[in-house]
Amino acid sequence: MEGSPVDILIFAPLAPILGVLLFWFIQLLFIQSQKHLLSLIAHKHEALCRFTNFLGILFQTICQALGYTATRSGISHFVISVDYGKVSPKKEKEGLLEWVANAFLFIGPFFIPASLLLIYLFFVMNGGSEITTPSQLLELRYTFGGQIATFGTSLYAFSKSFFEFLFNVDLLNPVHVGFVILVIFFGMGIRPSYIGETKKQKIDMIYDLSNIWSLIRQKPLYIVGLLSISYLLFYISVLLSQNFYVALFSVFGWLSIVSIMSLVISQMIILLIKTTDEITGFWKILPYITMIGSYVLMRLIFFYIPTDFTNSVSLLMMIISTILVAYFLLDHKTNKFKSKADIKIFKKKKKGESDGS
Amino acid sequence: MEAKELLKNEKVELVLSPHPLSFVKEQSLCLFLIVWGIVFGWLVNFSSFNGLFGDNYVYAIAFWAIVILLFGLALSLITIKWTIFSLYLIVVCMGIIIILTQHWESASRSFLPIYSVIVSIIGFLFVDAYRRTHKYIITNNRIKLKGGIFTKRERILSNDKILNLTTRQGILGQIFDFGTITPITQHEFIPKGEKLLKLEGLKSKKKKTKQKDNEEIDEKDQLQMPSQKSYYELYGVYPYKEVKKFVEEWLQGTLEPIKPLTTYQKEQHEFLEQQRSIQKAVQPEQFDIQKEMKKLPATQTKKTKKTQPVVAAEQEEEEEKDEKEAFQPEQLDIQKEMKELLKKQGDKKEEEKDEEETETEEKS
Repeated sequence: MEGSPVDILIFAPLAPILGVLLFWFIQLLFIQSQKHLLSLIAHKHEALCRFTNFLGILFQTICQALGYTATRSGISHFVISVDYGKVSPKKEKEGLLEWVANAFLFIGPFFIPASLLLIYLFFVMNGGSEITTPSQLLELRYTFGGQIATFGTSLYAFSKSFFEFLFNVDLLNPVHVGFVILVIFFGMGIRPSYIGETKKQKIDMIYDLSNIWSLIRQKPLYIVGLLSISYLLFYISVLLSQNFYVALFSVFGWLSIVSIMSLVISQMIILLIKTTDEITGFWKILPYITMIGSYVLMRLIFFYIPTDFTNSVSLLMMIISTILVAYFLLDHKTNKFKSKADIKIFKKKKKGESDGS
Repeated sequence: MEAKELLKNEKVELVLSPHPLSFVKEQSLCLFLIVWGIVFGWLVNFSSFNGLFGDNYVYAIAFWAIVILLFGLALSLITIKWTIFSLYLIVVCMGIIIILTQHWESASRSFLPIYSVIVSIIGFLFVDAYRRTHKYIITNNRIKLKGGIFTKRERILSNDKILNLTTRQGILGQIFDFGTITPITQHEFIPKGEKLLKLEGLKSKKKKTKQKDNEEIDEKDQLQMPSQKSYYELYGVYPYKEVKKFVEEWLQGTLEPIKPLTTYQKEQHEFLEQQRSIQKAVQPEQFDIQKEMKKLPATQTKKTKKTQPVVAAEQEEEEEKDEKEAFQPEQLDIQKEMKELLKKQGDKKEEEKDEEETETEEKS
């Protein structure tokens, strides 16, 4: 066991906690950017925004209900609508149990729905869930650096397998299609945009952070207790030379990665919707037709000419052709990518067309 | 609505039809067929499980049919509608008949997915055609609700016959802003007592105790909602909030004081008020009597305990006599009270009738 005692006893246990916090913060940033994108399309796609809001409230309400179930408070009332969700416990618990129930409500939505996707992934993905131990990394041991490296390695292994799976998703396989639909649903509704029909309470990064901060401030002793438990777990893992401590936090890291990827995919879809909104008439459907058509066409081609990268090349072609068609339409049918002079010519041309018709 | 269908001084205020997603329950039956068709096609042709079905076409057909029928059975049991199972049974039978008559046994693995998708597309088209037959026309005097593909059905409601509105909006309706508005007429409005007798067996214990305690009566208890068809109500209308507001305003407009109430409406209102006042007057007294009745068995046991046995036979006779002596006067009192109450009710009714008669005489 190399490294100074201070490093091993005090700083090393903090490494995976900080790693999880970092990934969770990245997740929060992505959520914030998605909220911004949704607000941009809200005026034209009210139903979609209501749907995403409903999903967010659904996840939040389920997490709250799980909190009450885990603390054995029971559930007496469960109401959910597009703008509002409420869960009432049968017995009002106090102290630690109340705090745990609140933790489920405020922190749960970031991790609990993602855990469903993670379970799904274990069935469709090949490997990636292995946890490395510091002893496998020769120079780094149970120090802060060692712990962070172990945490990073396990996240890397998971990400590698996860991305491999994502880039090889077979959209003609119902199991994979089911996963993609779940990813989009989860990404769209990871957090609600607002609560309440009349008085709109905005749910953003500041709202989430302030809630969590108040939870910490409410009972600081519990946080000290949790930290003490994690330190204890770390010392046991060091003594047993079994790095289950990092494994525990790695799971939270994986959940964050799954959430971030879900958010990226859903943001790509929202971006496509926003782009096509700028195109008028029938042409706005063309990128979507291209998306489906190009994939089916590529799969048909590869059915007769088999290759090793059928799925990934088909996906790539689908993405590229959709982007190209959208760009082409934006360039020809809107003011986008044009100088002032070009816009004038474009307007004249449009006017001429409308007069002619 | 054609001009010749309009009555004198009648004008069309609003024409509505159901939202395309309002028939989602029916559409989901078709959606299942599409999804299952695709999954089945993938399973038996491309997946790693295709070896399970072997070369025998019967296994594949049986697997396809069993899943559809089980799904239909489960849905039918949940919704208590055997039409769902029957429909799926017809789809399965038709598929098997086509395979057998056309001798497509060897091609069943590719035929069945295509067949499922085609049938579901036909189903979707049929549901949409059915939706399009619905038209809800609101004029200044009445609501005309019509629909039906083969049998055309119509319900015409004059605005003075509508007493109330009930509305419902599911999650999908909340997302896409559509919902159902049901106009309630007098014949759908049944007094509470009558309904309780009908549904006594179905009422929960909780509700019974509530009624015993004479707590606030939920307005829903007074309504008997008939199982409405989509052509008998404003089913899945869009935009829900605006339409609801419009219908409410339209209904309120008929109750403005400038416009005099019809005799029928007057009679109905008076009848309802009478019923309410009688119920209010009678209920506290009835509860006092009920309380007294409850106390009776307790006093009875106390008194029997007090009497001490001397001889068994004599004792029984004496007890019987004691009981008779002890209870008869009390029971008589209650009977008297009951009679007085009934008299009071009768007097009240007579007084009300007299008042009405005097009013009508004065008016004339």
